[in-house]
Amino acid sequence: MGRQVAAEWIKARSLRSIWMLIGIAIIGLIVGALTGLINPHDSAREQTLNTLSGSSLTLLVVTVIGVFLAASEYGSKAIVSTYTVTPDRRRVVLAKAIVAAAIAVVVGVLSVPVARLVAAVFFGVGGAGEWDASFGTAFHYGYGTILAFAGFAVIGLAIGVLSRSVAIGVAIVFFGIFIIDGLLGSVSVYSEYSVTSAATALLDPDVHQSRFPRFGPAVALMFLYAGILTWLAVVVERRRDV
Amino acid sequence: MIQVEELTKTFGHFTAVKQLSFTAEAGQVTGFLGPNGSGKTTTISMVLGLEFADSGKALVAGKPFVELDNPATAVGAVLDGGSFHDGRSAHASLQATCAAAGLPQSRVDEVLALTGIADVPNRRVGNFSLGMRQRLAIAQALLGDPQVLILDEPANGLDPEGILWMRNTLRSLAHEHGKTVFVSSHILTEMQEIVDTVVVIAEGQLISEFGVGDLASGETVVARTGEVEQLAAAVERAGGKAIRRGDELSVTGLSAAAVGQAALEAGVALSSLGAEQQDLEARYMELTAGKGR
Repeated sequence: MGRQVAAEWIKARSLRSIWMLIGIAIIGLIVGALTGLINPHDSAREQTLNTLSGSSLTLLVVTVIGVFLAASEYGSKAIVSTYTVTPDRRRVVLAKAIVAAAIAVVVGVLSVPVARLVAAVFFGVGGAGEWDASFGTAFHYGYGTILAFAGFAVIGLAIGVLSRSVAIGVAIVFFGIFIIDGLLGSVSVYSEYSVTSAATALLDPDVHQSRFPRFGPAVALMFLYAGILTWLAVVVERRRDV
Repeated sequence: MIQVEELTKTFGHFTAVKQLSFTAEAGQVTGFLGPNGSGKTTTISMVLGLEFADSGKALVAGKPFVELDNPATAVGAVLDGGSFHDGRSAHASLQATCAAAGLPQSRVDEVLALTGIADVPNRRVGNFSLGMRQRLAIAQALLGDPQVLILDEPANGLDPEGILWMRNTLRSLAHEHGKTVFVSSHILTEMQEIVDTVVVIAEGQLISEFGVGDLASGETVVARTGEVEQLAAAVERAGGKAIRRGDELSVTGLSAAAVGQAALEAGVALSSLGAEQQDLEARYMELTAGKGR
């Protein structure tokens, strides 16, 4: 398995488009933090938590990175080379999922330092407000963000394998997850179980809203969605012709 | 060695490959010929585990491809003029293959040098010419120094120097290193220079399997006449096989004298009659006449 992960990492890091997407994801973190700082708030604490609560744009971009890592191989037919070297498709899909998750984790790890840096600059140039978060709070937001990003990257990867097309995969992610699932999340019965609700609960763990799952169930839901979709991708991929 | 036994593949109601059986031996270059849509690429894909057969089996080195311990060291494949991401460099593409196969990274530079593209390792594959892409695909196939090489149209896009290099390389790999080389190509004159044995398929089925050495004993009689249909009928009555090409008839299975006699008996006037040594192209045309999809 280590060999496949190494190969997938070489493939990912050798594509300019992946680095561009990572760059956009980091810009998303900066924009998300700025938005949190300037949005209306009642207290410094609320302003700080808004700043820490990640970015929907970055969540979308890490999901697209997952889609891209899988689907771009089909568009270029590079998947033929991949499967003639590693015919065990389960290992290939899992290795891709590990690399997608690892990239998302790195972006997630950056989320809190970026938010803190953006806030420091914002306050430094005379922006209103002040930073009000303990290390524990920042840590909580940090690993919530990491889990949300990693989960969505793996979900994107599974969608990329299933769709075998970057365009279709991105369309499914955008409309299926960010629009339709988001809208369904407003239905109370479904909202506690939707993948976007789980992501919201992970990105903003200290502000619990009754229609969203709590942090623990949100972690479980994220693992469940990512796990089921990855399993489905493996099962389908092992039965399909290339 | 590659063994294909009763391999069948259907797509909906279309049978791409039907109970196909053949063997490609070690130490030989085996040509895989057939008209467009005859099932060559589907067969190669099934041998490589990329497509699943409905029935039958394909074995490489005695095992189904997907059960090989480290396929890159057992089989090298060149398909579709190389399956690479356009945005990745040649070096990175091969590095990834080395990593997946557990091969030393030093092999990358070795095969790039061997295939004559060592001076462009960091150029993105999307900027490669078709010939360079083909060389890169061959480089990738050679990375694991495999015992079996499977090449689908390897001469596509290669310049004359590249074709000569490929011809010498493939023959050397088979004859001097005992490897199994299985090549599909449409360039029949080139194939005749490379291959030892030929597998011909049409409409997904085996048409013929023969050694190129056997061609030397074959002879084609070429007759010109204004009455091609009458001559073809006379030749077939006499036990020959005729292929019509305008006012020319290529006949196998009969000597020039027998064709002349058949023409005389049918009252057909000939403008010329002669014997030609049969080449792979003539044999192929004869075998696949009217069998394209």
